[in-house]
Amino acid sequence: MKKKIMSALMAASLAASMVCPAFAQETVKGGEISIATVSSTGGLDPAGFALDMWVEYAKLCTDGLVSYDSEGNIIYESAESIDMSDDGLVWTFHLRENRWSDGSDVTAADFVNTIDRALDPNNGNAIYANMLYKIDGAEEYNNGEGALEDVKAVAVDDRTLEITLAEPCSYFLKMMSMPVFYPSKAGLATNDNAAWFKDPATSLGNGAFCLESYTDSVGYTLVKNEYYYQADKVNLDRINVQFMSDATAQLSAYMTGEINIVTGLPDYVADTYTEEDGLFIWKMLSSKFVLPNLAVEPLDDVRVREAIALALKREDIGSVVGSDYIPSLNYVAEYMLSNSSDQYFKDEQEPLFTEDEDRARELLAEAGYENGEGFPVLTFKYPNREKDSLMAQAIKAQLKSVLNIDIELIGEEDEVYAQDRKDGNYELMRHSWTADYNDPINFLNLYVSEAPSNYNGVANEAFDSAIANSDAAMDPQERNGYLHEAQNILVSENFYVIPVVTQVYVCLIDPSLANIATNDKGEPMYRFAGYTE
Amino acid sequence: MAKYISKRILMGVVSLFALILVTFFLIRLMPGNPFNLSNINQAVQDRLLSYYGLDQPIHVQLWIYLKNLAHGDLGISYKKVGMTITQLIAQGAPYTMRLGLIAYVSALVLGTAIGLGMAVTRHESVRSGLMILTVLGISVPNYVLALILMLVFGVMLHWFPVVGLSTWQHYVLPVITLSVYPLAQISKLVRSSYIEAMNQDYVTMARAKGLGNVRITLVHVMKNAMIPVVTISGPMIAFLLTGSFVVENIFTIPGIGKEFVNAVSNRDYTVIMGLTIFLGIILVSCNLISDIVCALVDPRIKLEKGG
Repeated sequence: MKKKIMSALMAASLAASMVCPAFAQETVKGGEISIATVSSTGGLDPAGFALDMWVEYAKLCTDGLVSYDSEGNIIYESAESIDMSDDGLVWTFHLRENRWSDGSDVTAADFVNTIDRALDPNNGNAIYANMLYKIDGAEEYNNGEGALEDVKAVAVDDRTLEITLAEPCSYFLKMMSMPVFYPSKAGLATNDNAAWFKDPATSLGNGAFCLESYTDSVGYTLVKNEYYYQADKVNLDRINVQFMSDATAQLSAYMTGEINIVTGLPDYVADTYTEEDGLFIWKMLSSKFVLPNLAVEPLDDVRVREAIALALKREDIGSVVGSDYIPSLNYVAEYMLSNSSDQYFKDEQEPLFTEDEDRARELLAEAGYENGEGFPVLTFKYPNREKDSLMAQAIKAQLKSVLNIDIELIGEEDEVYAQDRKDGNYELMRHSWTADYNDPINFLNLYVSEAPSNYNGVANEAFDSAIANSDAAMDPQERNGYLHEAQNILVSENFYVIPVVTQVYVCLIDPSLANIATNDKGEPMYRFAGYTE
Repeated sequence: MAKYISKRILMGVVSLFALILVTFFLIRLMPGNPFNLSNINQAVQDRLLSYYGLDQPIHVQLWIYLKNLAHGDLGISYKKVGMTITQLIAQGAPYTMRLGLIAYVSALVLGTAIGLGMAVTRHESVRSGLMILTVLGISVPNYVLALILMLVFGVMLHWFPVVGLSTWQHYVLPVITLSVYPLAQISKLVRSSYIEAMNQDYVTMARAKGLGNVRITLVHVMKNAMIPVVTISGPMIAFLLTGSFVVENIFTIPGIGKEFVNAVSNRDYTVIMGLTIFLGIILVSCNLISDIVCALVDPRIKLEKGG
């Protein structure tokens, strides 16, 4: 007996996509645009070093199995429907009829191709291989202990992909936005040829566009994929993606009209541009927080950690750092959607705590540091960049004025900072996390006892079991309860992490373009974009 | 002469080797590693390190590197998948060189003309006007100039594009930015050495023979006045070919300067090494060539150094 997941959700998402106001604008066919992308790091191989550069490419050229819209509704991309076995282990993806840009069929083998290549123990570039470890046999094969035949991601036939998990995973479909679940043409995309993705003959698209040419260090051009099953919805003929590292240069290029879309601009752009000029705020799923080292006195005392959390005035910090830093009392990203309601995750519960100077002073006094007396000078490490430095200074000033305690600021070069964090060589540290996929678990499971990302030594049984329960809970409502419980333990009960701000990306998108949607990560999606006249 | 040249070449090779060693160790002294990206799992990071041999002891790494280098193999990029360093240089160098050479030629031609103009003009206002321009040219840093040019001629006036190098219009702003400093330098140099040469006996002699001012200037004086320009041309070309980091980044030119900046911020060890060696070779050979040319033009140098 199998459960059909394709349900009311899909109907809702279809209806939404049809009446969504962003899609209501008249557009003309044809035309081309230029996009600036910051990074030329990595490549376009979903089974390889897939970073921001891949994300930019994939949202135009590759259709994964499913994706999510800005309200968290599932969008069936390559998968037409999905079945899950009653025990939650076997997931069957029924693929729709679609073709690659060379006219060949998109088959289940193309999805297996990426998975197998990413897990290949000899693939030195597969940075997201661990995202596949939920699949039965995947971790063993990747570690060189198992065999490829035992990896339970198989093409049952051309249009059926069957994935068997090692244990139930309630958020498995959310992980489909990870590169390793995207297809790459079997037989053409191989690990033997590391440069396959640069050659239009081997680098095929199954999405709205496909690669036309690739020039290292310069950029790449994309043309409309005529074989795409939604080709009639695609307006633009060509997209030119340019690698541009300098933010000022990006802004100038936008102003001269040489570039139509730029992301990640300085915050002053948000103050001088309006929506009519093309301002687009990308509400990222990110969180910047203070990480107290639990092995360091007096940070091992929960009262001290709470005092610090309550003493900070986040509005002031935001106004010092810039308009792209939004005050946040939440560890799970401010704009993370809930799985079981149409709200943000944070809005489903009472605030985790409230800023309260008096209470902060009381707590510090209870911990034995009346008016900050006898409190050691703690160090606060942060990456030595302008914004982080401003934030650190604001935090220092506030802790001094509210709690009368001193902290010593140490700005570090990125790699030093990462190393110190990994080694536990810090007292207080500014940490940040950006979601890989839209699910609170992506933030919360960083702090289960044995996780390598648990940098400050959180070891809390109640927390671990809340996470384990949420993994096994297939009912969204029930699961969400566990996730909230986990965040409460992490923040409001123990202040293992001290939330401070969330960050947004300032983008500019040529206002003469319409049909620009937003996905569940707040990211602008322009595969169906077109000029309004 | 042969002895002089071979001595210079040997010195060049020694300094290149020193450069390789120093760069190699300095890079590895930087804390952290190239794969410290925040969202990457630790086990995966360890695998990446061992895949690229970065878990080996440092002397082993150096030995492997030197061995490969002897075969002309500069290695592969850690961050640009499927890219060898040789490819990277072959791709970026033409942009950088074209830009550098155009900037050099414009600086040379215009600089000489302006220098001469300053030296021969009888109008005080013209002289001081040009003087102010050259002082400005020397003192305004090129990233400031680049941004000003970009804002005024690109963004405000829309005369020239500001991204890349695809048409001749794209060259205008970066070439101006790059050539202003050497241009100012050359014009000051030409002016002073021209004035100095004009006071030489052979000029008086030429005058006495009844030669015209134009002929004296172009044939006799310029030949001598240009010697200092030749001398600084070596370092200047090297400066133009290697010194366009900022300009390339601002105008999004895919040359080796931009690549270098990216490589440093990405911790892409092999790219940093490869580009350092490549730039080192250019620098050493530019200096070598200008030394040789000077020795050819000015016999006194040969006597002093060559023995």
